[in-house]
This record gives sequence, C-alpha cells and structure tokens, in this order.
Amino acid sequence: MTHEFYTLYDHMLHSETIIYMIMGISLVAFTLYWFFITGRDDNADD
Amino acid sequence: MNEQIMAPKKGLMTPFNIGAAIIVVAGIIITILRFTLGLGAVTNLSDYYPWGIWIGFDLMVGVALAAGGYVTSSACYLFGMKRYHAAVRPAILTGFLGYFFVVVSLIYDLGRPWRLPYPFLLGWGTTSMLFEVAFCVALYLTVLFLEFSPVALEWLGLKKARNLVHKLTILLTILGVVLSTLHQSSLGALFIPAPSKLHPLWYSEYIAVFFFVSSIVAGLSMVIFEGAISHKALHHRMGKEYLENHDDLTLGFAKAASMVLAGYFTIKWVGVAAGNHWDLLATGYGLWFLVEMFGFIALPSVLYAVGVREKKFGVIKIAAVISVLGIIVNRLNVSIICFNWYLPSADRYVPSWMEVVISLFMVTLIMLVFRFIANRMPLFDTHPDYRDNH
Repeated sequence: MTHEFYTLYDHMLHSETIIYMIMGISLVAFTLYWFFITGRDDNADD
Repeated sequence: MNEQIMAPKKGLMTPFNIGAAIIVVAGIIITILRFTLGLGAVTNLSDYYPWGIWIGFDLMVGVALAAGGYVTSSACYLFGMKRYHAAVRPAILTGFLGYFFVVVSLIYDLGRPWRLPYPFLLGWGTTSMLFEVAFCVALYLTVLFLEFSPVALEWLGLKKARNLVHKLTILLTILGVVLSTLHQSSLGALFIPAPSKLHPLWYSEYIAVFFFVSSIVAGLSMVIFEGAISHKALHHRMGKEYLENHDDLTLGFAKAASMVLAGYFTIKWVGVAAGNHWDLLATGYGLWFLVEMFGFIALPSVLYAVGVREKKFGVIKIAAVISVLGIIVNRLNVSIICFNWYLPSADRYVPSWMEVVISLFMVTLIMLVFRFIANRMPLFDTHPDYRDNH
C-alpha cells in the first residue's frame, strides 16, 4: 500500500478515494448488520 | 423505605471489604507522601511524560467510563425511551462519582493543586483546549450533582426542594449532553497539537470524533457492566420497575453499543486512510493497533450483536467487559503507550507502584461510595412518595 506521491493533489486523491470506498462499503454493511441484529426482534419499533 | 429493599445483615469481614481496607490504608499513606514530599517522591513522571496514569487512566478513562450518565438520561428524557427510566439514577450516580474522582485525581496530579480554580478566577484561556476541558468538566460535575440531587433529597424527605430540582430535569439533561459532547471530544483534541509525539496510527485530525464516539460506547457498556454487578451485589435494593426493565435495558443498550462500535470501527479506518498510514500496520505498533481494532472494537461489536439476536445475556456481559477494557486500552495507548513512542526504552514511562496504588485507591473509593449510597438512598427504586411523579 506504500505509494510515492509527487504532489499534494495525488496524495489527497489517493486517500480520499479510499475513504469514499470505506464509507460506501460501510453504508451497505451497516444496513445488513442492523438487519442481522434486529432479525429476531419481537418488537419492531426497537 | 419499604420492607422489600431492606439490606440483608452481612458481616464486615467480606473479601471485598478486606481488600478495600488494605487499598484505602495504602492510598492514605501514599496521599500523605504525595502532598508532603511532592510528585517526584511517588511518581515516575519526567519531562518526556508529564502526564502519567493519573491522567491517562484516572482522568481519560474515568471521564469516558462516566459517560453512562449523559447517554442514559438523553435516551430516556430526550429520545423518549421511558422504559430506560429505572437505569437513569444508577447511571447518573456512576457518572457523578466518576467525574468527582477525576477532579480528585487531578488534585493529586497537579504540581500546584491550589491553582485548580485559576482558569476560572484569574485567566480565561479561551484559546486553550485544556481550558475548555476544565470549564466543561466543572460545569458538568455541577449538572450531575443537580441531576443526582433528587435521590438524596427524597432520602432526606425534602419534598419541596426535590420537586423544584425535578422540574429542571429536561434542562439539565440538555446541558449534560452539550457539555459532554464538548469535553469528551476535547480530551481527544488535546493531542491534536502533538502530531510528532503520538504514533501516526493513533494520531488523526479526527481524534476528537474518535474520543466522542468511543465515549458513547463506554457509557453504554458501563451501564450494562455496572447493572450486571449491581444486579448481583445489590439485588435486595432493586425495585419492581428496575427489575422488570433490566433485561429490556440490557438488550436495548447492547443493540446500540453494537452499532456504535461498528461505526467507531469504520471511522478509525477512515483515520488510517486519511493519513495514508497503511504501511505502518506491518510494524510492532501496527500489530498492537490491529489488536485494539479487532480485539477491543470489532469483537465486542459482534458479541453484542450475537447476544442481542440470540437473547444471550452472558454474551452481552462479556461484550460489555471487553468494551470497557477496550476504552481503557485506547486511552492508555493515546496518552502513554503510543505517546513518545520513538524514545528508547530507558526513557519510556512506566508508572511507579505508588501511582498504581493511588489509581486503585480512586476506583475503590468510587465503589465504596456507590455501595454506601445504593444501600441507603432510593437508587434502584422509586421512593414510595414519588411513584406517580416521574
């Protein structure tokens, strides 16, 4: 994962791209995780 | 007080009392040494490490673990989850005692403790993060005292004063959330001016957010953890409402803790990505970071989730213990273990045994005062005179 960056723009583009990927994956994962946690709930409004 | 919650007769010579007595006696002796001979006589603090475990553990961990107060009261009074009402009083007391002994620990740690009120009296250092922390902690301690006071006033039979304070509940809860948000995050922000001292895997421009989010986990986990201990040790003091809602509270808080831990896990990786520190994961500190991430954040999150899904309260309690340990590990990592991480081992800080005893002394005093109050005041039960007034 080590990169050589020659400009700040390159560095920002690289790190921001990974952050956006993490956030995108997380949003999907959180939804699935919530369904897993509440899958056997008796009370739907919890 | 009704007959149902009269304390059972127990001898004084219990293992807990004997252990507590030894720690209290040792703590008093070291306290005398600290205030007569100075910090150098009892601590291993140095110019490299002016903050030891009295800050790293007693203050950083103490403030985080005392977050149960604002988490529970805001869930009940601001988010309308009235079924958690029975847990508010013990959570507020835990928070109040936590903050009170944070200030006591600070008096031990300050070279000139009589200058503690100086920020408010002499110099308003409004550009200082420490000033913000001091100001918020002082105000929040007052708020917690007022939030807890109805319990003491009911016990003393001062109905008018109790009803007056009770009317302020919503206002105090809002103040509590605002002040907690500010100083929980500011404790992390204290390290923002030290990028060259804190290891890059723990240093982040988002460290204030990390501290705040992890304080919510700490608060939720401490309520579950403290509830489990109280359930065993103080069962005879618990009223019907508390006992009926205890399982529901445990499941609700575990569900919240699981999701918040998942969020915390994610933003910690965002911190690594923002600094592009992936290469450091293959170092010794990197492995320790992975232990914290997977062992103390991801693992309890999954355990909470499984515990809630399968309604396994034992699993939830284990998750609460691991989460509390995780908060301790994180705060010690940031303030001590990964601070000045590049120094040779001879210059690294290792607390003296007397510093450790003083920290144990503080924890023991919190437990003793909590037990003293819980055995006398209507903490787990509504006072019969106020049952319809909540």
